[in-house]
This record gives sequence, C-alpha cells and structure tokens, in this order.
Amino acid sequence: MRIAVENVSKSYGRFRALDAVSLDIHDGELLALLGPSGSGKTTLLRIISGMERADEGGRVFFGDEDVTDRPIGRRGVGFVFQHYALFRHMTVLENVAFGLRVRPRRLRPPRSEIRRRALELIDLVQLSSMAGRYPSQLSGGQRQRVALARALAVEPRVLLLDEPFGALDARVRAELRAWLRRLHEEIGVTSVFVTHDQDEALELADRVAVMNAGRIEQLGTPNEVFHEPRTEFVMNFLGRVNLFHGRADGSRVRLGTAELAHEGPAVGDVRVFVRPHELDLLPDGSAGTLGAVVHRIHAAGAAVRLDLRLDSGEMLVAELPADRHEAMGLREGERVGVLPRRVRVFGGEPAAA
Amino acid sequence: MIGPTGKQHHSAAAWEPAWLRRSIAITAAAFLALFLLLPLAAVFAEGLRRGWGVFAASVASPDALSAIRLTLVTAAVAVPLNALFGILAAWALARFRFPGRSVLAAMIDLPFAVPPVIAGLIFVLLFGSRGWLGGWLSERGIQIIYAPAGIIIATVFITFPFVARELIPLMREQGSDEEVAALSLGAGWWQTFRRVTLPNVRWALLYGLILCNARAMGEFGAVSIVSGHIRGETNTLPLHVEILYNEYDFAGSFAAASLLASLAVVTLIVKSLVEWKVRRDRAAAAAEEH
Repeated sequence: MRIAVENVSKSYGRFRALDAVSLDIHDGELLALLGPSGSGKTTLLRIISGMERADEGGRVFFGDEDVTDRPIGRRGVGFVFQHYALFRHMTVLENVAFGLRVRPRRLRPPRSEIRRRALELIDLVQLSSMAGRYPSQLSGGQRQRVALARALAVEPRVLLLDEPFGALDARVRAELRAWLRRLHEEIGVTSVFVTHDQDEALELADRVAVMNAGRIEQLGTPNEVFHEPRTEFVMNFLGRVNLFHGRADGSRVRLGTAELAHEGPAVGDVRVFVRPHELDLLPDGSAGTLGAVVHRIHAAGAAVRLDLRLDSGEMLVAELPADRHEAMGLREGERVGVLPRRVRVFGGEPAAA
Repeated sequence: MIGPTGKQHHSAAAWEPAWLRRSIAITAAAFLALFLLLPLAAVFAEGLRRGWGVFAASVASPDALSAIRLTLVTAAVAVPLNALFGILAAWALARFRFPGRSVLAAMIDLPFAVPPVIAGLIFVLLFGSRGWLGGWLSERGIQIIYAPAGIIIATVFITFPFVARELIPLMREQGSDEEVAALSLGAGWWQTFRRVTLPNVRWALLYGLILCNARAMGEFGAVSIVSGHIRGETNTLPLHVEILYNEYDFAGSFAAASLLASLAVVTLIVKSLVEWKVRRDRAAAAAEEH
C-alpha cells in the first residue's frame, strides 16, 4: 500500500508540531521517521494512523483512497505503541485475537479460525510457549513482539510503530531490530517507524526521513542521508561530527594553517564538518595538517577513538581502524598532524556561479 | 523494566529496638480496641441484652421494616446512579482535556467538603414548599422534601464522590494507550469500554461501590433534614435508630443499630479484600510504566 501525505500541518496551541509536510511512502517499504524529540515525527505517525487529525488543508492517502476523514479504526492500520499497550487482563492469545473478535458478526471468522490465526501469529513472533501468559509475566522484548502480532492479526494495510524499541535495553534492542527486519522482508507490509536513534534508522529502514522542527529535512536511503547530508542539521544528527569554523573562498576552505578542498562552493565565514572516520592522522608537522596533541585513546571497540586537542584549543574526535592505530603506535600526550580527508561546509554566502 | 523485579524493603522499623516496636504496636492495638472495637461490641451487646426474642420483635416491627426497606431502596437507586456518574466523570477527567476540566475535578469533592447538614438544607431550599422549585413542583403534585424522593436525592449527592475518586487516579496511571490500541484494532467505543476500560478498573470500581453503598445506607445528616421523620414513610435505618433512642426504647434502638453495625462489618471485610486486589493491580500498572 502506497501512502501519500500531502501538505500536513499540526499545531497544538501556539506550538507548530508539523509544518506543511509532504511525504510519499512506497508500497512495501520500511520507512524510518528519524528526529530529536519535538521534531514532529510522532505527530506525523499519529496523523498517518488516524489517531490525530491534520490541521485544515492536509490530506492523507492510502493508495488512491483519501483516508483523511477516517478514524483510526477504519483505516486498516496496525499500530505498535512504545509502551506496548497490551491489554493487561488478557492472555497473549486473547490479546492477539482481540482485533478479530471485535469484528462485526458478519465479518468475524468462526471461533476456531480466530484461534488458529492468533496461534499462527504467535508462532510467527516466536512466542508459541507463551500463549497462555499475561503481559505482566513477559519481558519487555516479548511484550513488544506480542504487540506486533496483535497489530498484524487484523491484516493491516500499513504497519505503524512508535519508537518500537525505545523502552528496551541495548542488547534486546539489537536482537529485535534484526528480527523485525527479517519479519518485514517475510510479510512485506508497508511499514513506518518512529525513532530518535540514528543507528536504528540507518540499520533497519529502506529509506529514512530525517525530521527537525516540524519539517522533513531530508528523505533518502540510509546511505544518502549519511553520506550526502543536505543540511547542517542532518550532518549533525546522523553520527558524530567535528565542527570547525573556517573561511571559505569558492571551492577551498581555510582552517587555521590548513587549506582544504570541499564540495559546495561557499564564500565567507562557514561552519566546517568532518566525520571522525574522515580524518587522517599524520606525523606532526606534515604539510597542510593541523597540529594537535593526543589527549585520550579509547581502544575498546572495532574502531579506535582518539580525543585530540588542536593547537587552537578546540577538541576533536578521530576514528581509526584498529590495525592502522596499531601500525602508527600513537600514545597519549604525543603530537600528531590532523588532515581532514573530506569536509562539508555549511553557512557563508553561496558563491556566485 | 526488564529482568527480575527487585523488591525493596526500606523499613526503618528494622533498626528500632524491639521493645520500642512492640510497645508502639501494643499502644496502637489498645487504642483500636478502646475506640473502635469496644463501641461496636457494645452496640451488639446492648441490642441483644434482652434476648433474641426482643431483638427479633424490634427488628420485625412495622416501623423498623419500613425503615429497612427505605434504606435498601435508597441504596439501590443511589449506588447504580453514582456508579454511572462516577464512571463518566472519571473517564472525562482522566482521558480528556477540556475547558472547565479543573472546575469539574474540584466539584467532584464538593459533597465531601459541604457538611451533610448543609447539603440537606440546600435541598430544602431548592425543593421545599417555599423553595426555588417548590411552587412549580407542588402545582404538579410532586413532593420531594419530606418524601422518599428527597432522601434519595440527598443520598445521591452525598455519595457521589466515592466511585469517581477511586477511578480517577487508576485511570490516569493506566493511561489511554490500551483504549487507543483497541480502537486501532477496529473495536467500537462500546466494545472498547466493555472489554478494555471496564475490566482494567473493575476492582477499583467495586471498591468505590462498596464505600458508596456503606455511606448510602448510613448517611444521617443530610437525610435527617429532608426526611421529616415520618414513621413508616420517610425513616431510614439511621433515622429510625435515633427516634427510638430519643424515646428511650434502648432495646429497639440498639437492635436497629446492630443491623447497621453488621453492615459496617461486612463492608469492612469486603473492602479489605478488594483493597488488597486494587493495590496489586495498581502496583502492576505502575510496574508496567517502566
């Protein structure tokens, strides 16, 4: 099911949670709405679900059908809540069967069929042995899987997940993430999930909509938003960055003693962003480098992280592959030359073409 | 929260010397016995002092039976009504933001804040023969003050807060996610209410109903004002007790009183059972938040 959001705004009193957002969600894709709290991502999800209404003028389409005026129960969406929202007085089986049981009589499958389908879904989320338990007897990850099975039981046209892993600890989170990705490939239902965790969005989604202050800053594949950030916000939000202040002159930018090429033409005072893994460390005094002192080395992890203090006093972070770090044999307190390999420049005035 | 639920006992008492703990417990128990159990025992003893025969005769006298009937009818009307109003008010307050919400929240406690005697007078002022609506009512031959209708109205007013006050904190704590989830799964509002909202608050509701019922049967002040004390017509049990007492019919008075007191005992027992259930539910609701 293709979903189209057109010109959707939402204000709460004076606060503008969404500002004329339009978004096309492809049939069968898994899309992430990524942003900090207050960016409008949850509001957008709730408007797609029908839980909330867009302000006058905004429209939501499921396929060719305008569902703007339909309430949540009539849109055919499966909604998974951050805190699961399982029915606490019902067993896992009863929870999953709920959506089928409350159907009007003429649409309701027979009792045995409801049971069969519920058990099938419980099987799908790998909780077969838990069908008779109550939510309070399950772990967080298990509860979230029940919530997912419950949402899928009504065969939704669209699956919507609000911070689905937000309440889980890191380990369970990573497991459930991989599992959800496989499940999505298996059932292929168009899905949208909200998250503030960039790793989650980048790892799980086919496309990511990065949101800020009620707008979509950038929409693209994880690769695009990570490697080709279009705005300063996206650059900053996705992954760690080092920020410098420099002076740009067309396609060159000056950072203290170093002069570097960058992608966009810009002139004047600019903010220069460099990702930690896009910094090279060379022997101190190498041509075109910035002088720095190794302040601290974090060697636990796949990449080695180094905190550096530039001679100008600014702190920055560099990441090296472990083998390269070993080859260089750097120690804390030693001097190095820092050479940004790839910089992105925002601000300044765009140069005349 | 995930993992084993760590039970924490921050019990300062464990650090007090044993003699102190024991003497505090004994003092509390003695106080309880002196001020609560002794009077209750006295009521029963006094009611049965002249034997079962006299007790049965006083309880079975026409006036007593009429008082019992009116008390039961009053409770039978007031409790369901307040269950309905209480659920509606709690639902509105816990689920929706609307203009005047805080005013409504404050209003719920009004019957507790107003002394019962004043509550009774309010209704006399409203419905009495010289009251605001008195003329209009008497033209139509409707009598409220000095009639069972007035007693019921006063009782409904007095017992209004019990159900709502039990439900509001629980419904707030549970939040509306489960209801929205039910709606998203295609349930209608009535199905959502019956299958999700109501089961989630059933013990708190029962607890509220028990308190409401106890007060509906036991209310004296407001009912006394609007009743007019017409024997066999507008006397409830508490009023009946007072009348007999004032007439020095101690045996009859205490017999009726012991009926009311046994109601209190039954209420207390059921209440403790339900209270224990409610506390468990609420702890579970709180645990689920994490």
